[in-house]
Amino acid sequence: MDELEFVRRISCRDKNAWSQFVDRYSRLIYSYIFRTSRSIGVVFTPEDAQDLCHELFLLLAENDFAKLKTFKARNECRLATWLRQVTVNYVISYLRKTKPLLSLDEENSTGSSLHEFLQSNLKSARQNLADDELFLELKDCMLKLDPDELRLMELAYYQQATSRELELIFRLKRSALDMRKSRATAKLRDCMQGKGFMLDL
Amino acid sequence: MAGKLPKLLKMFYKKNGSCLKMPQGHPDEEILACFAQNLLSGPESLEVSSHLQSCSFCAEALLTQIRVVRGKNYNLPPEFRAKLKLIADSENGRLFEIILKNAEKIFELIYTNGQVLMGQEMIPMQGLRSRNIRDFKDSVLIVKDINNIRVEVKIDSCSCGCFNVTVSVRNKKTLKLLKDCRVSLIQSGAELESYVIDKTAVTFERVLLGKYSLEVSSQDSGLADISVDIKS
Repeated sequence: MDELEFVRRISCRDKNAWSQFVDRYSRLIYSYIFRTSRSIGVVFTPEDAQDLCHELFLLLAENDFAKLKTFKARNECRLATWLRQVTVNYVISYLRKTKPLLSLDEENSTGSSLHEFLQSNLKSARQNLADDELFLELKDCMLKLDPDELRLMELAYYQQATSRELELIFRLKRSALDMRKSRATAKLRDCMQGKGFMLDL
Repeated sequence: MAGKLPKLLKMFYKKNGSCLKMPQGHPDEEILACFAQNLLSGPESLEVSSHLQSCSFCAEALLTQIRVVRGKNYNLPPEFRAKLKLIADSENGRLFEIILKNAEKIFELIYTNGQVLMGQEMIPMQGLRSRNIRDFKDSVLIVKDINNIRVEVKIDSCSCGCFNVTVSVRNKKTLKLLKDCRVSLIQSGAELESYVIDKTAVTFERVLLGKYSLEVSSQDSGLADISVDIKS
């Protein structure tokens, strides 16, 4: 059956269609809740995942299935593909509301804290600036980058996008992105050097 | 000493978040999903690409989607799937569920899709779990917004092992109490008691342990379906 017609039947309160919808997609949504949270470094209990899954189905159904009806199958988009993105957005938004802020003493993924990093590697900088000041100077240098370069640094280091993912987002070849990235890092290095930091690339 | 800047940048972003100003308006989920699968036309794709480069929220959503495409599948408990099927019956998310366990004047909140009022704060089920709050002494007040109304259900424990259930209804925006609403207590399809809210609330006294439905309706239509299950 055509997926738009399927959604139309659900929104017309066809109980059988809703039941089919739950049978077809609940496992996918439930799995995506777990997978998304894990990819962000949060481990949900089955109860947490069930609560979120239930809320997501309520969201799809509430106000006369308003959310579900936003699926229009444009550009041959499949219902499953749309539901995956809806689930990912929902979980990210939930975790954003509940995620604690990073502490300077908190261990990062490599097992070292920012304090340790600063103490062990940036002795000259440590003499001049406190941790927050270092970041302020770095931010100042970053804001001097060209917008395209700043966006690339953001995706590479904030979102930690791989080269392949960067190619997809920028719609550019890897060589062009590499060049842009190396130009941006050189600018940052020079700017930080001007502020008294010796940062090797 | 090599690789110091990339490491510092990662720490910077982890602490400070994005440096970019969030653009106004975001592509919807369908557009993002199509972009990931190269299903958009050239101009549309460039527009989304430009947005993603400057919007950390959308970039994170897209990248996460790409990263979790492959992975383990998890099976739902059959009873949970059956519960999801009931959502459509509850008409526009009108179902307000409360499951409690009653023991010696202590209520253990097993599940609710409403929020528990604690002081001035309304806390959802996940929030209670993360704060390790489960038990309530003597009474619990649970609130749920349904369409234009806010339904409040207070459950008090009685000395006889039964409980009192009090239901009040407010306008969601003004929080003014609504009168002239009828609240009916139903068990296994049979109406046990039914009252009109003439002042502030309706209280059903000395209700025994068990599973009940509470129907809240105005003169014209049904407003909320409350399911209360109090186990021993």
